[in-house]
Parts: sequence; C-alpha cells; structure tokens
Amino acid sequence: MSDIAISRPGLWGLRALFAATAIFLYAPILILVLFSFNRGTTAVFPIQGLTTDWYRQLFTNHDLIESLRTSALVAVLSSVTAVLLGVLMSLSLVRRRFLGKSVVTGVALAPLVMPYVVLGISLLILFNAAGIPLSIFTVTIAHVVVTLPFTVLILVPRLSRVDRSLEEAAQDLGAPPARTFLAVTLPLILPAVVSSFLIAFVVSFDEYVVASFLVGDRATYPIYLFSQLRFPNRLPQVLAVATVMLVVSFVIVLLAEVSQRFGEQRLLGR
Amino acid sequence: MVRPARSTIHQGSLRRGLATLALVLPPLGWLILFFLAPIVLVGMYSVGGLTLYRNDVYLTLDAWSRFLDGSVYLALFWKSVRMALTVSVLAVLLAYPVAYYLALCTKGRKYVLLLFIITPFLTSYLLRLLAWRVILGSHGVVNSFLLWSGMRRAPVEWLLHSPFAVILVLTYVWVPFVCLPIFVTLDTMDRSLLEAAGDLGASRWRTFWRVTFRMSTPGVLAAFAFVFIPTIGEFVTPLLVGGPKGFMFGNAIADLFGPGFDWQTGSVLGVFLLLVVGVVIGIFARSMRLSEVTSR
Amino acid sequence: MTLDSISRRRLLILGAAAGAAGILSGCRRGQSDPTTASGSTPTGSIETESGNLKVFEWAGYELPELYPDYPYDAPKFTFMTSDEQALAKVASGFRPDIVHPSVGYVRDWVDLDLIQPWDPSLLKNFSDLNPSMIEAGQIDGQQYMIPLDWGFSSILYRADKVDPGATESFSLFFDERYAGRISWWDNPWMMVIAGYVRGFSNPWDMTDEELAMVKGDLIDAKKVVRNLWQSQTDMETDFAADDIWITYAWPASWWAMNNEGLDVTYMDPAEGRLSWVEGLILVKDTENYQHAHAFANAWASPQSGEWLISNYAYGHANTSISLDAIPPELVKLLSLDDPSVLDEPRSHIQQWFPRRVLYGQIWSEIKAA
Repeated sequence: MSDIAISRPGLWGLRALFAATAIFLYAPILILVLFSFNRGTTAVFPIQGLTTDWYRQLFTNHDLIESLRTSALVAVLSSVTAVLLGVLMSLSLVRRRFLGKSVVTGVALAPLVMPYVVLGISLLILFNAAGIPLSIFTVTIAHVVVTLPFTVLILVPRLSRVDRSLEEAAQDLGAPPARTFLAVTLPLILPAVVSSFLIAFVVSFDEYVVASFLVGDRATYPIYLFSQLRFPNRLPQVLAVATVMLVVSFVIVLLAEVSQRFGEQRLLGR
Repeated sequence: MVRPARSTIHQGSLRRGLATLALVLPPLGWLILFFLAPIVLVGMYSVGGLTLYRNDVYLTLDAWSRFLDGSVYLALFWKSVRMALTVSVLAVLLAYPVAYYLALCTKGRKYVLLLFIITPFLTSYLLRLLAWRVILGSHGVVNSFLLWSGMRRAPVEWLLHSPFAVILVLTYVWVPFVCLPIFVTLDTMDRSLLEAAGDLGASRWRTFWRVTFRMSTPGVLAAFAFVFIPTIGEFVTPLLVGGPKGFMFGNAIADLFGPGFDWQTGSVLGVFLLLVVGVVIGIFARSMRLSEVTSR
Repeated sequence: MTLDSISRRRLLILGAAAGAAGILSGCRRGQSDPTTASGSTPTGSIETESGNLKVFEWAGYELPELYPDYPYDAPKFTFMTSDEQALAKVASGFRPDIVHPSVGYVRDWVDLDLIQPWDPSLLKNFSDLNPSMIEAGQIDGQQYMIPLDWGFSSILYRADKVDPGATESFSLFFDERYAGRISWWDNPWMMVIAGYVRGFSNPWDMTDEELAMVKGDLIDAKKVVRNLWQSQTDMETDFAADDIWITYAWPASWWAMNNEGLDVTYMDPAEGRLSWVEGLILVKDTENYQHAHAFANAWASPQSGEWLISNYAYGHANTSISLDAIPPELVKLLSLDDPSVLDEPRSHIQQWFPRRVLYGQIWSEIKAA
C-alpha cells in the first residue's frame, strides 16, 4: 500500500512535512509554557533564569480565582443542561419517528456554523427586550445553545449503535419506557454521556465571544484573561495560568477521548 | 369489543406521540427560544421593527440600503472574505499532506498521531492567541531573537497588529481541525482503486491526481467550508493581533453592539453575515457528500 | 388521525413558543424591572441595603484613596473605556449602581431613562463643590451628576523624539513623519479634534459637509496610526515601551510618563486643548441608594481631591482643597488653582453632542474603512 501511495523519497518528504507541521502546531504552546517559568517579566530572549514564582502568585490572585470559579459554575450548569437536552434530543432522533426530523437535526446542529458574534448579539437583544439583566445566568443560557450540538453529535452515533433488541426485550418484560432507558440504554451510552459532558465543559469554560456580550459584573475566566493582556507586568502570571489551563484541558480532552473509545469497546465486546 | 380496542390503539399511539413530544420539546423549545427567536429579533432590529428607544419604532429599509449601497462595511465584508479565503486555502494546503501521511502512509499508530495533531485545536483558543502575541510582538520572542542575534537592528513591526498576524494565527488555529475531514475521506477510500491504477500502469503522481485527490475532494471541500464559514465572521483574533489594519467584519458587528452603540446597523451586518453563511453552506452542501465525512 | 393530533399538538406548542418570543420582544425594557424589588424611592435606612456597591469606573479610579473614609465594604469595580462604551453597555442591560461619565453625556443618560437624580442633602461635601460644575450636572433642576474631577485632553509626545514644528498643533496626530508611532483614542472625540484642525467653528455639532470632510481626513490619516487605544493602560504601556511617541492622552498619563523618566510634553496646541468635567451618576432602580450617596460623598471630599491632583494631575471639584501640598509646577502647568481655564477661549470644554448617534456611526465607519 505504501508503495502505491507514495514513493520512498516522497515518504521521507511527507514525514518531514508532518514533523514540521507538528512543530508549528506545538511550538507556540511550548513557548508559552517556557516563558511562564521565565524570571523576567517580558517574553524576550535570552531567558533570564527559571522560577516558579508566577505559579505561586496565582494562588493569591483573587480576581483570577473568582473568574475561574465563575467559569466553572457556568460550565457545569450549561454542560449538565446541554447533556440532558442532548440526551432527549438524541433519543427522539434515533428512537422516534416524526415529521421534520431533518429540520430538527438542522436546528440542533446549526449553532455550530453560526458566527458566534451573531449569536452573542442576538441573545443580547433578546435579554434586553425581555428586561433581563446580564448575569452568569444569561451566559449559561447562551452556552447551552453553543454546546448542545456537540452533545448531539457525540450521543447520536453512540445511541444508534445500541442494539434495539435489548430495549425491546426489557419492554417485553414489562418495563415502562423510563425504566428501560435508565436500566438498559443509559448504562450502554454512559461513556458517550460522560464524554459529551466533558467536551461541553471544556467548550463552555474557554468560550469568550458569546460570553463577552452577555456577562454581567462577574467575569468568566477567558474574559478575565483578556482583560489582563493589557498589563505587561502581569504577563508572566497570565502565562502561568495559561499553562495550567492548557494542561487541564489537555487532560480533560484525553479523558473524553478515552471514555469514548472505552464506550466503543463495551458496545462492541458486549 | 371493537370500541375499546380502537381507543386502546389510539391511546397507545397517543402515548407514544406524547412521549416523542416530551423528548423533542425541551431541547427544541430551548433552541427556538434562545437561538431561533433571537435571530428573528435581530432581523427586526435591522428594519427598525424594534429599537432601544421604545418610542422610535419605525419600519424602514434605510439601514439596509445604506449598507448595500457601497458603504465601508460592505468593503470591509469583502476584505474579510478575502482574508477568510486566504486562511482556508493555507489551512487546507498545510493540512492535506498531514492527513495524507496519516491515512495512507502510517499503520498502527494512525489514530494516536491523529489525536496528537487535533488536540491543540481542542485546547484553549484564547491561550493559543496569547502565545502568538508573545511571539510576534515588537518586544516578543521573534524580534528579541532577531535583535539579539544581530540579524536585524530594529524590531520588525508588521509581525503583530497587521493582517499578516491575523492570517498567520487563524491558519495556525484551524490546521489541526482541518486535518480531520480530509483524513476521514482518505482513510475510508477504497485502496484497491489505487492498486488498480498502479496495475494499469499509472505513475504515482498520476494515481494521486486522478484517483486519490479526486476521491478526497468531498473531504477537502468540507474542510474548506469548516474553516471559511466561521472565519468570515471572526472577531477575537483580529481584535488581539490585527491592529487597525487587521480590522474585520466581525469586529465591526461587535463594535456596533459595543461602544459604537448602533444596534440597527449592527443588526443589518449580522443578518447579512447569516445570509452569506447560509448561502455558502448551501453551495458546499451540494458539492460534497456529507455522509462520507462525518463517519468515523 | 393520531398523526394529525401529534402534528396539531406540535404546531400548537410551536406556536405558543413563537408567541412567547413575540411577547418577550414586545415587553417594555426593564425600567420597571420586575426582577428588582426596590423602586427608585429612597429606602429608609442603610442597613436594609445589601451594600455590595457596583461601580462602573475608569481604570485607575478604583483606588481606595479616591473614596477615603468610605465606611462600608469596598465596592466592586467594572471598568469603562469611554462614555460611549459605558452608555452602550448600561443601555444593553449591564446594571451597576454608579457610573462615572463626563458631564457632556448626562443628557443622553437621562434621555435613555437609565439614571435617577441624587439627593444632595445626603452629601456633606456637596456644598464645597464648584458651583458652575454643579450647575453643569443639573438637568431640569435635578442633580443628576455629582461633579468630581476635571482635566484636559491633548497630545502627549516624546520631546526627545518628536519635533512638532514651529507651532504645536493637533495636526501632529496626522503627521506622516511619525507613521507607525502615533496612537489615537478609540472615540468620536478624534473627530472633534479633526474639526478643530480644520478650523470649524463648532466641532461638537458639525454640519453634514463638515462631517464628511472630517471623516475623509481621518480615514486618510489612519495609515499613520499604530493602534487605537481603548484603555489608557494600553497606551501607557506602549508609550513606556517606546513603541508610541505621539498619543491622545489625559494629564494623568503625562504625569505617569514623566515620573517614569521620559522626556514628555503635554501639548498646548494652537487650536486649544479640549477639556472635560466628570462625575458620578446614579443608576435607576439601584438597591444601594444610601451606600451610593456615601460613596459619592467620600469622592467629593478634599482628601480625595488632594490625592487626585498630586497623583493624577487632574483637577477636583472641591473648592476647599488646599493646594499647598501639591507640587507648584503641577499647579502652574495645569492651572489647577483656576478652573476657569477649562472654558473658552483657553480650552474647549466638552459639550453635549446633539448628533451623538451620527458621530458614533461615522466613527465606526472610520474604523471599518
């Protein structure tokens, strides 16, 4: 196969390209991490010695901690809601027949292709017209809209691979639909549920555009980060918290991926 | 008796129907209330059907005609389209070899390597932006290196706060994501076609162009669309690294709903962007086979 | 038939949802906001209020030295970058208790029905404030703004790098010799400056032709601009880093750069500096009426004024301040002992923009061009 697809020298060329691209993708991230340990306050060469001071300072930065707390709250609330709604939506799409399924699917996935600026302003208009003041709840509501498509995209394929005969067997045995779902379906799709929650969480936590329009006086973490970019002497702290968050989101994404693979194995090896 | 049986059937169908409703309604209701209805409101703002000043409701197409009649915003829109095109082309160009390599030239560790490439995309967007600010600034990594090594005597100014920075950073952000649809198309391609082409005497290059590339077109188009569509309305990257020359359409919308404080014009721009996005999706959906791309 | 009933039901429910959206959009915007309990009438005692005061302030004004002896918990500050931005944000649904805009915009805040008048009898320091500033803060006899600080807007430039020519002029903002080293404030006031450069009689209320000329000038000149700053900390950062040599600035930035050891001049241009008066306004339906008054009183105190003048080189509205503690060169340079310097013909005190919306639109277009 390799011979048909590529020649020997071509293969090495491609390998080099792959490596170069990988370096291009990871270099800025690594530079970020590197300078978070830099003793100086500006990100200039040469490095002026290493220190973990900036990381230690993070623990006393009240505004930062407050913003992390706010973002976590918004992310948890919106992700849980999005997963719940996503499960309902997926069940209806996969297990039910009704007219206009493709329209409903389109609406459910549409936030993915909608420019977030327009999403932000449209909700600003809505809340303004309804007299609802801006707060973390307005941000949460928006984030549910943003993350719902992700949950649907993850749950629908998983759900469609669950063997209906299991559910039918349970129903034949007299279990009401809710019980069937809880006892049979849910355990089978649980890894996908977990995975979609994690993805929704990460997306909400990092979301800046929509939040910037709808936030009240409690800043979310990306908004706080943004506001700190103006202060050069705070750059190292910003880099430190950025590194921490990068690692955390990296881990979460890996967990989500592993969870999905695990779910796949369970489904297949059942 | 016949009657009860019929009503039982109806009851059963009714219950099923209600169950379906119970499933569809909450998510759909949420989306209608917080996604579709707001868009309608934006449309109403754009024609003056709604205003911030309660007494000023006055239906008019003035804002639309001002916009369409050669306004700076229309020129800004085209500028954003050009920049989005550049980013999309560059991203696809960079991603294709990577996807090709992964799909056709590696065995075993294929998915791990794919995950490795994609993960940056799934981590914080804002932080990756920040990294580039640190790298490109006049007191940043690149410039300090150039000065320290003696290659330049003054910092290179156009690295940051320029359209160059916007295009570079946006390409950087999108390359990982763009790999995926191309990879899927290439990965699911029927290898026997390649062998058949080889058996018929085609050179590798010819095989690539006539067979592989042609079959990967849906994936490439999907990838292109996935980048192009959101990038037209991009706002954060130009805000952070664009400077006045890197100002894009999304920034204009954000400004008009922010300090610019002109919701009607902002709504016109917003609705226009949505219409354009809709048209682009329509064009692309027709010319690519979606099912090939979304299966994993 | 069952299918029918499902469709009908679904239609009914969708219709109800659409109707709900319609009702929401037809709702009046929250002046009588159903979510806040207390109205705008002053509540009895200060203990009944929650006390977490939310203040929408300029960056740098959040320091406790500016509201000394405020006896309650420190307020929560959110930062505004300009009057237009603050007006837009509060009109959009952001709900602080207090905002700190400049006096030329008070009428807009009142017209948008966003604020309520203060009760000067609750402010001990009110009687010491400059009378003409007090009057400027009144609309229809109601005290909507407590005037607190005043100052200039002009060009700050590096005297060691920039040669302004024989006469100093605002046209330095457009000087191609310093392309890439110039920074403008992201605000329609740049149009006013361009109007003064052109020699128009009243740049605060220009005609359509004048506006078209000013718009053209600014769009042409945009290429020499490195960036448009929104927060003065951005601008001071760039200035201190030697990236910017010419910038729109307020006296505080001049004083700060001076203290950094830079050779800077705060221009007194041929066209005349712009000047402004700022103060606090009280947002409607605030839960912290009494706290807000206490805060305003703390700001209006002479101690606040002394700190403001010595550290930020702005003037303060309290006439009882003793200028002995303040460096004399500062007093002389900015005529801090003589607030009449704000007025014509020595400076151009800001005025209300009768065509504010149009100015805003044109500025947005200048940015987009």
